[in-house]
Amino acid sequence: MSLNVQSQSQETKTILKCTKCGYTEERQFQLGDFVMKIVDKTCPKDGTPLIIWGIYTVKQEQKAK
Amino acid sequence: MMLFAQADQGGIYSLISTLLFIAFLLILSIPDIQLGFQMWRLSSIVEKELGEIKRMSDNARNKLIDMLKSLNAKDPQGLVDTLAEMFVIDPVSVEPIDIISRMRHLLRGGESKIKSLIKDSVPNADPVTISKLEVSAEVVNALNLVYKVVRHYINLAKKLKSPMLMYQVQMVIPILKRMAEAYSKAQDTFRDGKPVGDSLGPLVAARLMLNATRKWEPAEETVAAETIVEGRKVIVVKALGPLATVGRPGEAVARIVEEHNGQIARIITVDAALKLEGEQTGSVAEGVGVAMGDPGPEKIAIERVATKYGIPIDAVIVKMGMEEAITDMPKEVYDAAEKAESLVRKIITERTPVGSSVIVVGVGNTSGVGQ
Repeated sequence: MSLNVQSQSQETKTILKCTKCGYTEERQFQLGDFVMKIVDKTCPKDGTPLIIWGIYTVKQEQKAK
Repeated sequence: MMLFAQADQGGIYSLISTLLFIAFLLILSIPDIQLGFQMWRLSSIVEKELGEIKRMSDNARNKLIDMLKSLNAKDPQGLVDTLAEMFVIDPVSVEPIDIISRMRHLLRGGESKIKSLIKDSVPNADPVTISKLEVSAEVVNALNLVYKVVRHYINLAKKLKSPMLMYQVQMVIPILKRMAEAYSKAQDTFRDGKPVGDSLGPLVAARLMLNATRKWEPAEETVAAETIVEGRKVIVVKALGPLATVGRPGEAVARIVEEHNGQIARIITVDAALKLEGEQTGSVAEGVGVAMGDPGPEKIAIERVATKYGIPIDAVIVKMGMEEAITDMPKEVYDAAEKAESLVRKIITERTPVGSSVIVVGVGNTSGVGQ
């Protein structure tokens, strides 16, 4: 007999984007992040400052036996 | 002889157990006993659920107290008690004349009262923190109300010894518990300044504002920006981010239309909408009318000004569940923002002439979404 326990863990992602060339990268959400904030990072392709393009959360169901 | 004696003893036991069983059935058939048993069973089920709702309500209070303490607030416990019991009385509806302006007056009065109570307690807090505390106070207030209403009906059912009333509580309590769970999770999302599902409208608006030539505040906590889309002047309106606020989009749109003497080709509203069970989160739909979950004053302001000048109103909605709308924005909704933006651009290019002016309103709470 096994006991299945389902729990949900979630991860919030911040999407950074270069508005000039469309380059995007993803990192973990940090407190203080908000969409359209210019971050301290530049585009590796053209050196344009990156902005936060979106913040979303992914829920993952975990099964423990 | 021994054998007969044993058989007799067995018969007596069997007779006694049969009589006890009949007596038990007779007792159970007494209406008062049945009623008591039903009430005991039902109340044990609903009281367990009520305990869960109370736990969520207490947690929300404690989180708000912790937030206030971290900002060195004056009397956090007293402030939270006041905010938890705050209410706004509905305007008189048997006399409908002027009901919208009376409702607007009362709703804004309620908002400003909460804001001033918080500002008095934490005078040095910035506007974003104040808005987070306001939303947190709303969560505490809502959870406190749900708990008190459920407790009221349970106590009333017990007092009246009414299993029918208790059955009604038992039927409705899973929905209320789900609602309470959603509110409970929402408090953490707003505290961390993340976008919620309802921030979909402001997210689309913020992206349209990206290359804006001019930005201004047409109403309190509301921002407008002017941009060009395929030769059309597009005025984009959203709540002022990243505050956790919905702003005053109705008042802003009415003012902008009047400033343009009604020379607006179209008003397009973009908002999150509650999905029906079975519908996909993030599905985009298009319709006619003001997409806005407002109690009345903001929505009617757009309807009135659009009717006055004969401006067509489009609605672009993205569907999601109630919990998804007030907690962390799910990936499906984030992905839908791009589709909604494309649809808005398509409406602008296909249904308005080059050189005309269009208003796009990103409706919803702009928590975690700037401009």
